[in-house]
Amino acid sequence: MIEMARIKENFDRILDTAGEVVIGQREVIKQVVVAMLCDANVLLEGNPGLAKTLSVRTLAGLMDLKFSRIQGTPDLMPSDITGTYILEERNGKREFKFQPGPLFSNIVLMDEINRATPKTQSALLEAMQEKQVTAGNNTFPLDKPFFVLATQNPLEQTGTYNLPEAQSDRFLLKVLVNYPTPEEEMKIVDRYSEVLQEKVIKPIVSKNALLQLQQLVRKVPVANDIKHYVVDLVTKTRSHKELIEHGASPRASIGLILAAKAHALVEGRDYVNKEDVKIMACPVLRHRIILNFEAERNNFKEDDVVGYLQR
Amino acid sequence: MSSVVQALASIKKRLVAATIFNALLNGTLIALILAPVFILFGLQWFYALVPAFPYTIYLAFVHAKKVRLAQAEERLPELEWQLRTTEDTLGVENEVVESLHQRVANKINDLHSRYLMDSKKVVHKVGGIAILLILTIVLSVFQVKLIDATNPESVTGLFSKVDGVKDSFIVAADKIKTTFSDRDLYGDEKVADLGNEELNLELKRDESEIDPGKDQGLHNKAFKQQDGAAIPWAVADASYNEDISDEDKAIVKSYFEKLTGDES
Repeated sequence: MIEMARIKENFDRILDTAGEVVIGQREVIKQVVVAMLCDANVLLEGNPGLAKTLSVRTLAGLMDLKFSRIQGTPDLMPSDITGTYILEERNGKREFKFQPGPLFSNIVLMDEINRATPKTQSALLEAMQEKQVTAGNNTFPLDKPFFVLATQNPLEQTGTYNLPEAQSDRFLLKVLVNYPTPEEEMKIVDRYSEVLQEKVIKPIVSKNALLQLQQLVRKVPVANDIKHYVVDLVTKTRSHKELIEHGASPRASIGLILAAKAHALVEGRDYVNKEDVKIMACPVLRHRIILNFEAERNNFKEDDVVGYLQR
Repeated sequence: MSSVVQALASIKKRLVAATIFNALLNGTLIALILAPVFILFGLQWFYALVPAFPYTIYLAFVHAKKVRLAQAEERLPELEWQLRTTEDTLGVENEVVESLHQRVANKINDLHSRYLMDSKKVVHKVGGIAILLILTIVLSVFQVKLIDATNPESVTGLFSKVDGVKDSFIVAADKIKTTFSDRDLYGDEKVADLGNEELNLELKRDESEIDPGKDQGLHNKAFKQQDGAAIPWAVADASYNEDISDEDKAIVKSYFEKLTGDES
C-alpha cells in the first residue's frame, strides 16, 4: 500500500533543504518539482540575480541528477549543445567519435533561451520533445529523466528571438521568479556577504525513485467534476474574446490535469481537489494565451485574466 | 473493491434516508403551520394534512432523486472530493486508487448517519414543531375561533361589526328593495306601468296633407284643425306638490333675506 504520508515527508524535506540553500524561492522550487514529476519542461522568467541557476542546481543535487548549464548567445550553434563528431586517434587509427554536448544531462538549464538563434532553439526543442539528439546520420537517446529549464530575461529584449507561441506551448509551466521579501533579502545579505560556507547537499530522492514517482503521478485519480472544470476553464480561454485574442490548446487541458495530479502528490494526497487546479492554472496557462489590445490597454496581465476566468 | 462499492452504496442509502427525514420534518411543519389557521377559521385541524401530505411526498421524491455524493461531501469536509473521486474510479486498478478506495471505505464504515444531516437545522425544526403542536392543541381544546367558515351568516355578521360601516352594500341593497315601493319612486303606479309598456309608433305619410315636392307656399297653408295626433303630456301627481308649512316658508324667506342683506 502506498504511504502518502511518507511521500509528503520526502517532498517536504526536499523543499526545506532547498530553502536552506536558496532563500525565498520555495514556491518556485515547488513548481519546478511538480514539472519534474510530470516529466515536463519549465520556462523560468525573472530578472537577473534571483537565484534561478542556484535553485535548479540545488534541486539537481537533491535528486541525484546530472546538471548542465548552457548560456544562450546569438552565436550559439546547434552542435554546441547537441554535441559533434571529433576526429580521434586510437591504436594508430583515426576515427570520428561523437562527443556529447551539454544536452546529455538530466537537468539542462538553458539561460536566456530567447538570446539563442532559432536554429539552436529548434535543436533544443527537438531534444525536449523526442528525448533524443540527432547528429549526422545517428540518433542518440538522452538519459532518463530529462528536463529542460529555460530562462527568459524580461529585460533587454533587444537582439533576442522570442520563442514562438507554438514552441512555448511545449513548456508545461511558466514560472515567474519574483524578488524576495525584505526579510528574506536580509537573510541573503547575511549569508552571502560573510564568509561563504558551502552547504553540502546530499540526495534525498534517487534518480530511480524519481522515475517511479513520475509513474505514480499518472496513477493519481481525478474526479469527473474536476476534469469538467479544467476543460471548461481552457475552453473559456478560447471563447472569451473580450480579453483573449488566442486561447489555449487541448495540450493545456492535459498539462493542467497532470500538473494538478503532481501537486496533489507533493501535498501527500491520493486524489486531486479543486485547489490543486486553481494553484496550477496560472503557471500552466499564462504562456499559452495571448491577450487582445483591450486587455493590454486596461493593463491586464495573463494571471489577472486566468484568475477572472476561474471565478 | 467490493467493500468500497458497498460503502458508497450505504452512504447513498443513508443520504436518501436523511433526505426523506428532512422532507417529513418540512411536511410536518407545513401541516402544523396550517392547522392553527384552519382552527381559527372554524375548520377541523386535519384539513391541514390535505396540502401538507402531497407536498411531503413531492419533496421526498424530488430530493431523493437528486441525491449526489457531493451533498455528503458538503456535510463531511474531511471527505471532500474523495467520495466523488472514488465513485468515478471504481473500475480503475492501481496502487494509488486502491489506497484511496481503502481509506474512503474505512471512513464511511465509521461514519454515523447523523453527520449527514445539518443537526442545527433539525433541532430548530423539531423545536418549531413542538411549539406549533402545543399551539394547535390549545386552540383546539379551547375552540378558539375568529370566524366560523362553516356558517355563512357569521361571515356577513363580521362586516356589520366593522366600525364606521352600519350596513354592508348587500344588506343595504336588500333594505332598499323592501322599503321603497313604485309609488315612492315614480309617484303614480300608472306612470310606472306606463314606463314599463312598449309603445309602437307608426308614421302615416299618405294621410298627411303636405307633399314637399309639389306644394308651394306652405306657410299660407291652412291646416285642418281636427287632424293630428294628440300630444301626450304628463301631469305631476298631487303627491309631488310641496307640502311645506307657512311657518317653514317664512323661516326660509327670512334666511335668504338675511343672506342677501335685505336688498330685496
